[in-house]
Amino acid sequence: MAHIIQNPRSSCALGGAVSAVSSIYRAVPIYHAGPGCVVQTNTGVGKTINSNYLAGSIPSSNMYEREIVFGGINRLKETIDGTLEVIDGDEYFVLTGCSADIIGDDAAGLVEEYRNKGIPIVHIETAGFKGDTTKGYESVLNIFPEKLASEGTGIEENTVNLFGTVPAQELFWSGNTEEIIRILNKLGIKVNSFFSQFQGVKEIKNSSNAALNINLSPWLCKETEKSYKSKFNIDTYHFNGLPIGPTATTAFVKGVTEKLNIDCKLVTKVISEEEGYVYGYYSGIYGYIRKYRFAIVGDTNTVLGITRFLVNDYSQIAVAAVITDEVPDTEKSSIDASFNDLEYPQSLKVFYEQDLWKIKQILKEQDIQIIFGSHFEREIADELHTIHFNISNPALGRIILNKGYTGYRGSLSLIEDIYYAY
Amino acid sequence: MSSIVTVSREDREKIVLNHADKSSEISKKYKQGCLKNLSRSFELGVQCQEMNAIACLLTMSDAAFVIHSPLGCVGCVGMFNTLYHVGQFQAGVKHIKNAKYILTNIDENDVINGGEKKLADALIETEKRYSPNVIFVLTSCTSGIIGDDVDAVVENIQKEVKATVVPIHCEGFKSKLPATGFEAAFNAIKHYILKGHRPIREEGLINLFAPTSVGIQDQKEIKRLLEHLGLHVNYVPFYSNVEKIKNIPSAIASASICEVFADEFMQWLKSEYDIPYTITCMPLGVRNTDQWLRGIAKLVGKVEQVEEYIEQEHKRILPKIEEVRNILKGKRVIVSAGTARGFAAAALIEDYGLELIGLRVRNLEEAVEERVGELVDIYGDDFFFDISFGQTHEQVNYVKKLKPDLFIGNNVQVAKLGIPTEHVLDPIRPTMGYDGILYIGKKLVNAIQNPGFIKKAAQHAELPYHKGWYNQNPYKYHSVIGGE
Repeated sequence: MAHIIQNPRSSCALGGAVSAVSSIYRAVPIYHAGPGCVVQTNTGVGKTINSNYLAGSIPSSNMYEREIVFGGINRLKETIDGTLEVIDGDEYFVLTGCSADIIGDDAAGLVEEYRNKGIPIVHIETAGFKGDTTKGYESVLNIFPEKLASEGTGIEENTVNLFGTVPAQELFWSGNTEEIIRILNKLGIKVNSFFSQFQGVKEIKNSSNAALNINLSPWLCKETEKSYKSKFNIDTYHFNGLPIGPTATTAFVKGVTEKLNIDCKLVTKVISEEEGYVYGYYSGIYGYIRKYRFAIVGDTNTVLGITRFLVNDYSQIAVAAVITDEVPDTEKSSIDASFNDLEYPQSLKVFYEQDLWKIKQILKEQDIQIIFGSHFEREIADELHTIHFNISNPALGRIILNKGYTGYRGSLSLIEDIYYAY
Repeated sequence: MSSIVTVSREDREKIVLNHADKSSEISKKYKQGCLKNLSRSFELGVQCQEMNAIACLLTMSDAAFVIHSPLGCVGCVGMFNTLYHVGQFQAGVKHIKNAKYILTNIDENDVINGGEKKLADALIETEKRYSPNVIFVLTSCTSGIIGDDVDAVVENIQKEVKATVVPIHCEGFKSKLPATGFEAAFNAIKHYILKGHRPIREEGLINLFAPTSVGIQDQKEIKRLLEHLGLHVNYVPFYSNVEKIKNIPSAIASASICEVFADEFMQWLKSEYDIPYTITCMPLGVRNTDQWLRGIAKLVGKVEQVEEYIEQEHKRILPKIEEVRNILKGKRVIVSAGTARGFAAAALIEDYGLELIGLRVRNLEEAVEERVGELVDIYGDDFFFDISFGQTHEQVNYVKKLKPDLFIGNNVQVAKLGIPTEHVLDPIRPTMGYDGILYIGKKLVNAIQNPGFIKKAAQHAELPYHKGWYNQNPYKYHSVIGGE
């Protein structure tokens, strides 16, 4: 059962789905939902900037009393027809909200009629009451192998599908993805990331030919993995959380390249170049590192990635990590286990909590000097006289374009920003 | 217990939600009462009244909020919380607080079995955590469709909690005009907080009603203006508290920051407490600020003082406006904003010698009837007049044809056309009063003087519409409600 949440950090399933769809190049979402759903799911928490194709101006059936009482399927039909006439897209995604799914409009049936006529359109059930942003993200991902990927023309040896990072929910998802792509490209690996750098329907179609999936989440997209395996015989390599800093990134590079049988000479060369690059810069700050006991609050991938970097590469002391995703109990052990590679004795406690008040109580009990968290944590940092650093949603009043903390280079950006926050 | 039913604003007399035509046609037909309300067979997502209800109250410092909805229905609150932070910062608050909003997080189980128990739990929890003076409970489409009896839950819980628990019925599907959410909030204040409370009159106190979109900078300017008339302001409900709300009946007069906010509530204050009120316009631009101030002065018997003050302010700012006018003169402009702000912003045209070629406002209603005629008198009878909200594709279509030098409004897709844009809906920077007009002037000059970013970006911009769309009538999906 979903608990009550004070000041949530995530949108609903519909919000998660629209973030994902809007990040696919030339994909067009169509809402069959209440009149406010477009604005509610495209502003505020989890939406730092609308840089996408439709910029938040999304077609919607805007279900008022008439549609609730008499059914809204005709209204949806008009909305789809209008969208196809006015808006130019490569794929159209009909997303149903709470109202539509409660009253039971057969959106799936209607959309299938269009699809049968050869129109590139799919339906995804994304009622808000089904869960948080991650839930919506997963339902979009599931559609890729199920409905959108091509039949598969054969394995492309050095092509991978990259998923597990949630667009918009992870604050720096776009920049984070770009650095990972940069490193993989350097190793001769082509990446279908679907959601950034103008990637889109072409990459989704081609995903059936990949040699490997890379899933950066310890708990998301398990259904997607299964579908790729059963339909296209593609295995998945897991790296739990964002690879940030030389230690984690090198482990990531080794893991991926082993699976793909990449020439180990090339791998060694790339690792040495990249590590040389960052450690060259690190040499300038040997005397400047301040060591702090820290707590970190945010989505699974960001918390895992930044904690690893701070501990394994940057000599900070991990005290508490609060995961704010709606993680099912059955998945918590795999996230806990992901912290096992922390070096040096750490007394890290891991919590799963979404409620702002409860998170505050957790933080009050810790012996900490800095809080890495959302903008919400600024208030408690102020109360506890600790430093505050914004790494997770919500990030109030910020524009985030391609900033990223992943990989080798991202760690430099993180160090710069942390120093400034101090 | 019977629920408070808020009459949707769209059911009022003379409401027009959608229409577009030459200004002369709109003006003539609206005056005659024969301007048809149109609907669309295809439209973009809009906004729901729940947002307005929350926006109206979120900044009350001793309030907490329980929102009876699934996760997504507080997306907007994240945005309003940002503004709340900025507001506190600008007001000099040292320890900035988050707004306190607790979501019942309706899930699939609640949809099937009802969410009343969870709502009750959330209320108890809110009291336990914060002991707020008031807890506002907001409903959603989902809580409405599944039929949770929110009033009954509130009535029961009220026996257990000290805070005044106030249900606000603002289900999104119930109104096409989000401003109805303001009414729902004021109705709740009326029945649950004021409920016959009769404080003593306080000399010189005036109620000033303003929504969240009016930022602290504007609040400061408005206070400054009214202090010159010897008035002190009870600024509600934005950045107020229960005490200030309870103090509403002790004022000698009421005014609103615009024609369409708290209008019904001020009427009620008149009939219930005999507090006179004035409805003029939004104090944006010189003419409007003058008119707005005069309206209040008349109400409180300061007619002579106000003329003196206006003259003094004109002396101060008109030369500065003249400097800006020299730069902006003759530029062809489209103004796009909410109802009151749209009309008010059109008055900037006069201050800065701009040429109004298009105006988009959210809706027409009785409160702005005079303004419609007035605009045509001042700016001519053939500017393009669009009554709509959020229909980006229609706007891009006509803006591309009209080719303005400057677009005053918020529309990313219009900016992609390479047209410099600036906006007057600015809860962070000043917009109102005499100082506000100078600030806006600078913003417009900045937009015109160096449009390099948008001109260059437009060469790379991708608009999402089919090429054929631009050759079509932007209103091809309009139809007359109920047929001709």
